[in-house]
Amino acid sequence: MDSKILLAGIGGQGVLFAHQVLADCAVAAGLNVTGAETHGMSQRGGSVVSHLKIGAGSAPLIRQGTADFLLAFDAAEAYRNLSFVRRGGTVIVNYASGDFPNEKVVGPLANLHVAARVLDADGIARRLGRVSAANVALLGFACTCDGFPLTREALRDALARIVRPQFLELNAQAFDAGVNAGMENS
Amino acid sequence: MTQQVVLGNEAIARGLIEAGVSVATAYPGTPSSEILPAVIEWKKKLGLNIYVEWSVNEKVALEVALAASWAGKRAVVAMKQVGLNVASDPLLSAAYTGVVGGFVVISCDDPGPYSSQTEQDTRLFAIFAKVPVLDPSTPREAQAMVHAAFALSEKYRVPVILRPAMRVSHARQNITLDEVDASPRFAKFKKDPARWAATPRYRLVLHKELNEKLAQIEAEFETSSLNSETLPHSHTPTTRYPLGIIASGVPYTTACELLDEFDVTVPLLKIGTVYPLPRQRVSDFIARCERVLILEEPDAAIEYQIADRRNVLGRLDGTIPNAGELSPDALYPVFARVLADVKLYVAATPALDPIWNEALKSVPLPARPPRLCPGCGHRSAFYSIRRVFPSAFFASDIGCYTLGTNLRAVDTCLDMGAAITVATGLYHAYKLDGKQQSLVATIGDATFIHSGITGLANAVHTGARFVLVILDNTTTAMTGFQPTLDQTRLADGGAGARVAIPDLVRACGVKFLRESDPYYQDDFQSVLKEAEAFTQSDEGGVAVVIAQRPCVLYDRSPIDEHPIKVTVTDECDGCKYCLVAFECPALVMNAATNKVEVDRKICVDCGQCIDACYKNFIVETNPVTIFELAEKVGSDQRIAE
Repeated sequence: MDSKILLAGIGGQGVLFAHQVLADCAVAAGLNVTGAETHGMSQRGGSVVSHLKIGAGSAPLIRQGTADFLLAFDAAEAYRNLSFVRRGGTVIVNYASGDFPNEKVVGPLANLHVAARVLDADGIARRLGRVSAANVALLGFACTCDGFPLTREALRDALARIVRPQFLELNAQAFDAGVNAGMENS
Repeated sequence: MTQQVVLGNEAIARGLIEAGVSVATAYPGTPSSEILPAVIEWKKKLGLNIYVEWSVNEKVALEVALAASWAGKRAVVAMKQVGLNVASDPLLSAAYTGVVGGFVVISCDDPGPYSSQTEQDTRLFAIFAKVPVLDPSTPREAQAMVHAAFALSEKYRVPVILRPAMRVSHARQNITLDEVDASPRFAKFKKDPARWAATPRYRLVLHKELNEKLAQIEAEFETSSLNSETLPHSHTPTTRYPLGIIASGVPYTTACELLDEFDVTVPLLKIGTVYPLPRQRVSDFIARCERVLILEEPDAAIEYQIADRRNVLGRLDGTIPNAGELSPDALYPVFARVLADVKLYVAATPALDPIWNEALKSVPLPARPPRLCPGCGHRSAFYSIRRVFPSAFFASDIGCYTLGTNLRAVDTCLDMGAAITVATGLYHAYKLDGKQQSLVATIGDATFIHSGITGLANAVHTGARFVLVILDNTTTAMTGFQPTLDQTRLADGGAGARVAIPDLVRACGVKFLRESDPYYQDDFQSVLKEAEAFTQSDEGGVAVVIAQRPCVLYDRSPIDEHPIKVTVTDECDGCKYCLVAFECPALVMNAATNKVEVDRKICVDCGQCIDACYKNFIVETNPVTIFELAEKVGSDQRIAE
């Protein structure tokens, strides 16, 4: 099944790394991937968006209103990119205070049947002693969402291939914490 | 076969390695910068005998690679599209002289533009230069086209341009790693002055020869598999279609996807060989359609080459937007309109649910414009420049430091090296009126070496007077920390001879040269004042100050050795002076308390903002005594962490 995943965050949050993990995982499962990244000027503290398409097709960009999943590593970047999510799609947000979505978007999300799932990935990463692991926690959380194209086992294998050995244990913990949080509130 | 997920530029590098490239040169520039590093990575991994260099600029890079091709080696030069302007002189000449070993010029376009001065189209440059150009749609195709480009170059003895757009260079896709051609091609330059040193009389001969080559290449492209046609299932040789699409590059992939979305089938001609355009094939295609939509970017290279454009919809008749990227969001309404016009599609689907614009209108979102990093030495330099020169014009240049606009310390940015020449021109313009305008030019170390040196010699020679600050952060920061001539590090890690910037400045005839660290703001400002005085003295001229502070992303060790933690005191009255004048992302306004705070997540403890609060509300947290500092630096505690 073809899937379109938009990843959004801020420079330094590991958006491109998360993209790499998902892409590598899909290819290992025998699927084709195409996607787009932002480099250069936009990396200087700016918004970072990356597009990932799994399956057929080779156009790198996702059109607005057609993404199956929006993986947002920051709440503001989630709002900024909500218009990419299709009717019936899912938005997954790294947010601490638990009051995403903002009251202004509750109605539209319901009308478009968009599911919103929130995880305090930064909190998980902080507890593990490495703030940069939030992206991997969010990946763990994402794969527990209905219709997510990659399984938890396959993603864990992809992490093992990509992450440098000295950081693997920590990343695996962050990933599992994300998975567990997803299982609990699903 | 091994599958690997790679960036488009890495796919191109893989193609180069597979094709047996021997010499690879480049000048960094987004979106092309990852090509050479990927070549180097595979060269090391596979133990290949390849010469690589980050050249001084694109002209130098092209000439070095071209000469290697004249000696029979397969050679490549890579750059961004505006770099091709710099390299245009040898490119146009090389089209006439021809090549021996395959010679491929990679020039990456930037529709958008995302990180360039212009949206210029390399393919139009190829037509101007009379050089064949291939236009890949995806990383996979770019990898394959590298092979095609070398074969074409060697068969017809011409340079060939490969033009990936940013959405190919920075697309990520799984590719198949093919076999590597490691067969040696030995250097063997054959003297032929009528070609390699041709005078105008021989140039005419070479021009005619080039025209013949282009005619043969066009004939080959008529049946080349780099171009392909998809027809609806129910077609006969005489079927006439209400609409056809001719597309190249990334817009081709977008067209395929949009046709799927609209569930419409129309004949589609994909063009991979944009110049010389297979004109017969194109006109045959057009003849079978009532209307033909042309999709290409960033400009109209295919469309210009079509003689009869009566049934053609594209950029020239206004169907396609004439600026900006042809993203799926930009093309969706075009498709809806055109398909409705030819009655292939009726339902009016809005491109985007307007629901979001309405809902998000009142959700406050932080603007995230690009800014200089916390701890960036350029910020300290610009801050001091603003303090010392309140009424100067600030000519600047291409690099991270163009973001000095945020500190209102950059008034102009034209092209590589123009900080110096723009200051020169402004000086002479005011001089005509009997005035000496206060002028400060700022240029980065890499940009100065790229094309600032000639401008500086010219300024000195013509008696211009201004202060030139060379912002030396010891690397080419914006594009990924490539080394400059001022270091001893070569592209592949080998040792090179240092060509020192101070020596270059002195060699240009500059009589005032000071080196100063902008982190020591008082000293730096005294040096700037001295420089200003020199430009106004009887024997004055251009005064050069080299602001030396390593890029904080590239080498943070000087800060880590002497961290200065700062706090904003409770007395802060929220006047925002520091936010405007110093403009550091780590200084943020707390709207609730109306006080400035330090964002500890991104603050690097450089302490540079202390001076930016003239009311002294930004202070060092627990200042350490000199003895404590000595103890701290002496211990190995930091390393143990």
